[in-house]
Amino acid sequence: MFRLPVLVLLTLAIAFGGGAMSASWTLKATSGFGAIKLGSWSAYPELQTADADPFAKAHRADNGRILLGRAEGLVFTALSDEAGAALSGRCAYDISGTTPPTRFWFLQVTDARGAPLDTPARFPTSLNSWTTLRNSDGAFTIRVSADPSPGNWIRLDSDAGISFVLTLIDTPAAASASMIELDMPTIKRIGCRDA
Amino acid sequence: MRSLLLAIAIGLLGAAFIHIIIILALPLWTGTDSWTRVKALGASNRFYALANEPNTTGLYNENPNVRTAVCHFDVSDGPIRIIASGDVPIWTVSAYDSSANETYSMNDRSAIGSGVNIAFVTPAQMLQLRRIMPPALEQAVLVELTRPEAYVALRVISPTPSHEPAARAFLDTALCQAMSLESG
Repeated sequence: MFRLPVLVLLTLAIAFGGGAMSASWTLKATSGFGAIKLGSWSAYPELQTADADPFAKAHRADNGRILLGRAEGLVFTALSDEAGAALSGRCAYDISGTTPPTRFWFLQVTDARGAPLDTPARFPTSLNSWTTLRNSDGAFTIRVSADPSPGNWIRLDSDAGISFVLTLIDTPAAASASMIELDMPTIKRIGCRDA
Repeated sequence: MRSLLLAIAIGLLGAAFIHIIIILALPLWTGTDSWTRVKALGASNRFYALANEPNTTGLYNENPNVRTAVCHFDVSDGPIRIIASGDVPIWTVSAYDSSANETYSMNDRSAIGSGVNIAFVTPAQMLQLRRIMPPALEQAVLVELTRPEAYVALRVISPTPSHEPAARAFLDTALCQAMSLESG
């Protein structure tokens, strides 16, 4: 007598529970398709447009940030260094090289989900194209670490995963990424302190 | 046993269905999408400069180099003009519809003068303007919006702290005003 209701209940539980869990898992795992990947860096040039896929739109609605338009700029995020290891706040990194052609750029260290880190105001948390010192060949090296270092330094002292966010303002990078090899800075891990 | 397997199979099918529905419908009911947040800032037709720290509005300047102001409006009753000027290194503007899709963006490199001078219009208003262009809009960039409700983000680049006052002045004096077209 109870077989039918139990089976129906089982079906509904699998449908709603499975559907909700898989939707929430997929949203956490991916920011949508259509990424440009250059080395360790990826960007989503269509994320703010009507052409974004449903995953991206769901992410966008949940996040609620006002994204950069196409003529405004492009945001690149790196979650791992050039060896493929995930970025960690306990480690020190050297970000060196050049950026694609752009009128202005700034580099910031955020937590793994893109929120700013809790850093005392006296420490530098970001650098931009006007404040970054260059080598004689035009390339730069930025040291991201807990200990101060001469030259370009961004302070990083966290116990969790982090990401580097490089924002290019007014750049043709999105349009040309598929046609030519664009140079992005490399991320090298220098060392980690103990847990 | 067979009916158990059938129940599980139908359940999995339902899960796939619900998964798709959730992904597609999420933008409609999160309540945290940028359109909802911008509308919650206050009345339409004025610029609100965003704070530099996370706060209850959910919107803030995420980077010290970019200062943003937002304005939401409705073009059904007439064109909306965005006007701003000042001594800043770079400014950018983008417009989004009520689903947070980008409808237009530009930066100071493609501006006619050195300041921001954009007018958002409906297709019907655009036809009217093509017949008779008011002098006020002669130098403006005209952008046609298919959906009447929209919001605009005006951003100023402030590379060093010494640029802050000029950036703040640029955003504080920016205008997001309605204008009426005299009916001919």
